Amino acid sequence: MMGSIIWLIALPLLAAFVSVVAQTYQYGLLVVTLLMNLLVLFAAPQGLTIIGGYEPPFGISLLFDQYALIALLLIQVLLLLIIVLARPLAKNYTPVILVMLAGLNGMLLTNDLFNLFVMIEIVSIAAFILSTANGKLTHTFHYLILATVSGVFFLLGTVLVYAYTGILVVQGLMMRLASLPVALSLIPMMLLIFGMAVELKLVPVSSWAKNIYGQANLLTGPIFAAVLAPAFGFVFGRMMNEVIVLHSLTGYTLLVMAISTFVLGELAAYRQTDLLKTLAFSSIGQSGLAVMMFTLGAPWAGILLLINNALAKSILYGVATGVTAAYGNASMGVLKGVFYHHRLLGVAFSLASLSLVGIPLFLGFFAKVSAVMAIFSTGLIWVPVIILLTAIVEGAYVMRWLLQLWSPAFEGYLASKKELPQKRNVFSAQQILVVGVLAVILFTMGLMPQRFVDALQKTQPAMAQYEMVGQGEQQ
Amino acid sequence: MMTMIILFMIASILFAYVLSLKEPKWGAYATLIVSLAGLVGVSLLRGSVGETVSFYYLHFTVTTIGWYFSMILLTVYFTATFFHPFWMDQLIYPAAYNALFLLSLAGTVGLFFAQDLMTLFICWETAVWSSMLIVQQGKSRQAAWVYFVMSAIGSMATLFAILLTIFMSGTTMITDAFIYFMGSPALGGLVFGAFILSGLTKMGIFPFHVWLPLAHGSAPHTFSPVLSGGLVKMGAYIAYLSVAVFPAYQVFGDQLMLQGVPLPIYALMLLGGVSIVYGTLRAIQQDDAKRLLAYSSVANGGYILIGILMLDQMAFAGGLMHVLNHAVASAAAFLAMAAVAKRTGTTKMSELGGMIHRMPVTYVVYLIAIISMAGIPPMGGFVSKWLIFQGLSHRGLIFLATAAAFGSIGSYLYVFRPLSAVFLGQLAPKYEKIKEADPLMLIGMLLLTAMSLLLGIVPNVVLRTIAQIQIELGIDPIMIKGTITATQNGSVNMLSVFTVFGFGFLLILILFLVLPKSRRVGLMDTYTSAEFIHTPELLHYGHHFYAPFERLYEKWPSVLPLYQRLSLKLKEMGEWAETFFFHAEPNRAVFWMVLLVILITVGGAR
Repeated sequence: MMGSIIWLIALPLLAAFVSVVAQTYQYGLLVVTLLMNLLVLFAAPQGLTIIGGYEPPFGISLLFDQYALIALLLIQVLLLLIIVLARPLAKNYTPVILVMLAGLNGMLLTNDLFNLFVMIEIVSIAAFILSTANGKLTHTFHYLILATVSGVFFLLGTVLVYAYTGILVVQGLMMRLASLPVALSLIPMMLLIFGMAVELKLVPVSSWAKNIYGQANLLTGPIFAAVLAPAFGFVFGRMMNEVIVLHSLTGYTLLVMAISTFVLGELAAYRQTDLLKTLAFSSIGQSGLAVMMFTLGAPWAGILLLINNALAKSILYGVATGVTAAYGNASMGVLKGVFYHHRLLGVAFSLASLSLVGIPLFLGFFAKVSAVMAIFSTGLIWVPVIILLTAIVEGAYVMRWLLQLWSPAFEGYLASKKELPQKRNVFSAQQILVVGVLAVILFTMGLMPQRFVDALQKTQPAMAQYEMVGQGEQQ
Repeated sequence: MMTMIILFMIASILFAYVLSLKEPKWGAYATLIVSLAGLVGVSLLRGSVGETVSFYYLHFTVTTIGWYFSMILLTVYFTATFFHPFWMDQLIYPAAYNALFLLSLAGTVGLFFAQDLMTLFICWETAVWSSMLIVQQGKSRQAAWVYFVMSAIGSMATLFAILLTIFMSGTTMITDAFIYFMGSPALGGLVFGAFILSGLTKMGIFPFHVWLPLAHGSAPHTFSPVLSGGLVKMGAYIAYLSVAVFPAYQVFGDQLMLQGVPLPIYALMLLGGVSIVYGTLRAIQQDDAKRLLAYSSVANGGYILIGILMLDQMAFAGGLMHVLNHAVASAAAFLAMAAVAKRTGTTKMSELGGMIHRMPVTYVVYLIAIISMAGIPPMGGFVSKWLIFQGLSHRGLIFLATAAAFGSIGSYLYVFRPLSAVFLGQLAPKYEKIKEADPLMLIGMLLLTAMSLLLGIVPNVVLRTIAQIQIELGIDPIMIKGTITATQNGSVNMLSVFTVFGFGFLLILILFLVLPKSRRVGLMDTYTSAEFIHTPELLHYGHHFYAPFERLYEKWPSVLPLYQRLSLKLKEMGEWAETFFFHAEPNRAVFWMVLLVILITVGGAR
């Protein structure tokens, strides 16, 4: 009964409907659904699940492989921890979160391009509603406009793909597309890429993220940065390996977009004096880096970056939004030295930021190293130079924040307790525990990168095969 | 043995942290015991060269050079810990200080014993970030930040070089990987330049020296000695690796040769020369004793870089020995200043004076340290500077030799300034009641003083190890016989030099005791008698001590503004990106999206 992967989509949807009726048990329902999803993840066999007995290309099928497993596991675990962390806020948005969860799982599992569009739209709508929790409706509206326009692009792309190939099955679609004349496949590919670019926060369509991420609260911050962002990253990774055929024009456009997202995002983050805005631009930049990896055909470096960024950002956003809410403001002056009062949160935050920057002993370092090594093998020696130069900028602003948050001292004087801000209550013991668990997960992964890498590399063969096929027909 | 040391280090970090949470002073004593144990443990490794240990993904091996560097670092760390118990109340996070102190120690020792490039980088970065978080607990957040950013510039370049090396050569072992570049000078040059950059930034070679005065000047007083005496020497090790293990002379074999030195290496040596001159001139100008010593570290970093890059019989030995001599002398000088700061609360020279009357032992410690730092016999610093000078003049590298000579003479000027302004002269009334430093602190300082002296009297004890390193590298070892140190241009017997100096010292001591004593004049006892003095400190002769010099180069350009402008430019670019691409208005983004799709469609269909 629990052995089918379709429960990952059905359960949250069912729970969403029930939760509207049984309002008192909403939150419990959400937690139970996520726990059951985890159970399903471990019980369900890997492979292709055909829904309703209609063989593809006529019916919809779900593809559950190692890649999907990693993505789904990451998302269920992070979402579970985040809703525990942001319990009071999550209570008000339970149906939305459940629908979003169904959409996310569907998005990562579906093997049908049109279905993927539907799932992306479901997730987007849920994200719009969630973002209203920030209390800035204008920002939500801007986000809505951009995401809708990109949705149209994606749909148009899907339609064209169907018109040219006659199928919509994701798995192996690349082979069909690669056999088309370049002039034909160019347009759908470009439409599909731009259809995803908004959610991937790629320059020049990432402007929504500045405000949605930059004004986030304890619920929306971690969900956007640590659940939605990696989910769309994973979907993009799948698309790059199964669907999108890169011609020299689209390839370079995508690469330029990814690199400029990374560089400009980090540069914009460097000048911020607001913690949440800094993290917002850092999320934009990191997304660019992951997209770069998928574009350059190094999916597993991309996966590592996504995982590192998701875990780090869940902690960073959790702590940052919590501290901001408690102290009233996310500016440098207000938050000076707050970690003196909140040591455990401070340690978790520091750990996450060190990992985000890619400092050794932490997961981020191994992600960065595998990214650079992967790029070396493509022969583009100047890309690592850009990555490492930008990493200096990234390290600079992250460290500036870290120093600011730990030390209450006036410049030129030793720190004393007199300068400390008045202590405010940030998190309950339970919430601190959640942040602690996230930090432990991140730290443990950094301690045993080899084991982790071995597990990840199992995803390689299936993906590499399609990659080769795609490239072969391109030439 | 090696495994035990590593496990012990990791366990001790946690132990020191937990203990410090309970009572910071206990944690401080724990750092003392742990670093002593580390020192003893590593010294026992001397016999087991070649032993390798793998610790999960970290691989270590015992080498003579690694052992030599580790011993220096551990000595500096160990002597600094004598001060820890007295500083715990000044720190806002004492437990973190103790834990990070041991973590940075573990990182540095790991760096010197690293067998493969990844381990090297991981240990390097660990030492950097842990020490940055310690510097933060001092007087300036900005200083810690600049320290990190400058280090990051070097680290990222080195990471690039390391990853490129691993990618090209297919191995991570330090000794095997670099051999690959023997056949490809262009790529080899790139890797060499990127790899050595972290060494240059760490040693504070011009123009990467900006972090030194900031970080050394405002780090906690107990950590400045470690920064200058210890962590800066990590850069020397990187310089060693990039010239001795990386086949730099072979890779640059077809380059223009200047007196037998390839142009790229010569250019780096020139940077070392500039550092000597620049560091010396800037040090003369400083009023803060710790900033002064920091600039002197810049100058001495230049000596070490030049010495190591020479990779010959004399200067190379001198460079390696200067690592030790400067570490010992600089740590002692910083510790002496820390002791003064503990009692008076300042390191500004114009506010001090006459400390010799209250802290005579600290004075002696500082005196011996600066004699060694300035390279005056019979202290250790003389031997190493002499060897470097010998090597340079033997090769006929006239410009570098001039810089080295300039730095030596210039150093008399700057080391004399704290000596006279802090220790000699009149004692300010407010310091009448202060006492000599605590006995525990004195032990730490006197250990270093004794080392400085011993290194001057019997330098061959150390030169024997250095000769061993040279033999392992396949270059002519430095010639030593008994107490005689010989070079191709002449030899020196430091024991007899010491005897001569000792006689001279005794003679002056007898004269001092026999001749009538001078009368002490208080700071308030000035020539403006009968008038009330409102600001006696302005009459203190430590005030504008080198006024003519300061006037001479007060308008000189500084390097720091360049970096500040760069930072500003980056922020401007960020602002530009924000208004152009991250503007809140969605219509701009939609415009870009539509425009790009149209352009690509048109362009692709063509």
